[in-house]
Amino acid sequence: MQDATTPAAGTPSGVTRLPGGPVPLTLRQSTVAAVLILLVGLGAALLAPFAAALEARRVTPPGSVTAGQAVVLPADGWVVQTQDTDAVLLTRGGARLIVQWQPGTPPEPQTALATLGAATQQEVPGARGFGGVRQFTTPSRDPGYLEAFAAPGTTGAIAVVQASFGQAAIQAIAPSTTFSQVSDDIVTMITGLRILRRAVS
Amino acid sequence: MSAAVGGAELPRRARGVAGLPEWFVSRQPILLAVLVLAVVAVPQTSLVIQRLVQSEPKAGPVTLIVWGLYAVPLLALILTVDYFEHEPWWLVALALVWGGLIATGLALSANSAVQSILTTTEGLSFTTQWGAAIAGPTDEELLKGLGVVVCALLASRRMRSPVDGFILGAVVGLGFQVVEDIVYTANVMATGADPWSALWEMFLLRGIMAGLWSHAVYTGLFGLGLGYALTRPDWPRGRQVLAVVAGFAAAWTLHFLWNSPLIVDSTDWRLIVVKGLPALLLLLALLQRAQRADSAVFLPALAAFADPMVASDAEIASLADRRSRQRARSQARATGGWRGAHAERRLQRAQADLAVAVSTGDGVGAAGAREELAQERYLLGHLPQHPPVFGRIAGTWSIVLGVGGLFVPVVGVLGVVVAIVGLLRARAAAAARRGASVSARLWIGLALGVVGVVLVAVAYSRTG
Repeated sequence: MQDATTPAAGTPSGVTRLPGGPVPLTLRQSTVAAVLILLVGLGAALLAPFAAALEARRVTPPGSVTAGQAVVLPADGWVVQTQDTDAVLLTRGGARLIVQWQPGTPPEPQTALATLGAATQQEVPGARGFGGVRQFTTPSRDPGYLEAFAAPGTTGAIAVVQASFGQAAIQAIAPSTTFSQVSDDIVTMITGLRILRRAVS
Repeated sequence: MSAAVGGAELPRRARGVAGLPEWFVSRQPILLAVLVLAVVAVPQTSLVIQRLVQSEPKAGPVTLIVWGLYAVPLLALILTVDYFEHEPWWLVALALVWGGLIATGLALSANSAVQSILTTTEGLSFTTQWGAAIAGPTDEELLKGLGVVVCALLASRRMRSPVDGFILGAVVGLGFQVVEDIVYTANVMATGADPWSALWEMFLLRGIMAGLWSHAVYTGLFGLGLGYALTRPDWPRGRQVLAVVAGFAAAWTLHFLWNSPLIVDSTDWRLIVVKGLPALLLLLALLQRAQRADSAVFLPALAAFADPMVASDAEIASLADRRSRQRARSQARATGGWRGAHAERRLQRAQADLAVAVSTGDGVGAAGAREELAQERYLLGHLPQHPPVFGRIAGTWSIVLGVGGLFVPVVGVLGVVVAIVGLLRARAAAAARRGASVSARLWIGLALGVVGVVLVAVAYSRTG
């Protein structure tokens, strides 16, 4: 047998042997390391419920606009044109976004979108949906449904965000020439909409 | 099978089998923690990939293949940094899986949660501007760094130099980078964009423009810091902690800078020059130093032979880092042609393998490396020698810059300068050596550079 200090055949003597094997760990040290790994890893995973809990505290973000129980965060450059208890109209360079709070148990998402689509047809004749319905979840963990539409000279989107006690109906309309400049804002404002769980004071 | 060979292999196998249970027992809690995190994270990442393939039956799989192939050369490049001792394949695979599936899965939900918290507390305007800069580095660097620590703890052999830490960090980062690229491409496709143009644009933006100074670099820096802390037992504890903290701070700061609107807020060449290149250059400078530290671990074993037939002092010095190894191969090529360069490369490899085998007490490995070394030494001695040719490397660079000059005039001017300086130096060197000549590449590079500059000048005068 050859010990750690004896050189192998054909190798020089006096060479310091590098320590081999894994990092020396006792079971106790390994357990502590495992707990720390879980703390960091699961801590990151638990940020999502923490964020939702923060939402549940009904914090309205700075700069937000409230329409009924719906909270909209206007993107940069969007101005509140009119606002009443249950609705708000935001505009920017010819584009407009209307959010209406409709209290009560909401209908099925398809029905809600169809109703909103019919209303949009009256305002924008010839509007046709494209790309299908995209489902999303808002920061307040409410399900939302969005559909883009286009008409001659006009492009936009309709969406609903539903909670058990009401829904926010959103209608965004923009001239086709400027839609590409505001489309990101519109999508951000729609998917970032929050629904409050208590009466606004 | 000879008795000698059987006798040499038997103790190695016995050690391996006997060592496994001890390793497994001491690492059980860590393995369990990894399993728990994998169960939490992997479904989140795989869900995104599943949706991509379902919604885009053609472009989805192509996206996975494109980004998968993109990772191959980068992985090969990362692994070549550790010249002396390669990491075990399973550890590299674990690092890739951690980065690509576990860290990404956990970061997906953590990032959106942090952005949501920022929006709630600071408003949309602040989050739009700073959300990615705060959430990205904080969540992602922490989760990727955790992967490096896990790999270091699970490794079947401890780190021997900071380079080992860099390898683990860069591989974790690469895994993360590739899967994040897939997720981002899937997100763009989900907005209704044309899937093929989405893939092309994302490949240009994230693969070409941002690919070389992204997650692999950031986490590589953290790994380097961790590597210094774990391979310097003589350092005081405070200095070891400082090395880890410095690695994390460097990774976080560079990631923050890249994501933030600070200094440059546009996606063009200024972003690369101001935010990308400095990160890569910082890493390369630190790596150069770390590679020398790596060499210092193994090369004393070669010096201990005190036998020029094993390795002369000049050969030992040339093994110190990538540049000096390259220089030695270029010299061998100048007199022995391609075969000389190949033989020199194999000689260096055999010397490095011998150094590792002797340093780690691997008698069988040492015997094999000595045999290989003797063969290459014999081959080098019998190669026909011809007079040296000077200026090959400068010539190659001037050609590359000359070709670039056909598209970017400044690069062409640079090519001309490199060619002229190379010509002057090569002629001076050739004059001092009988029979030596100047590489034709320098003339080709000079011609290409001049053509590029002239073409641009003509085009400019016509438009003007």
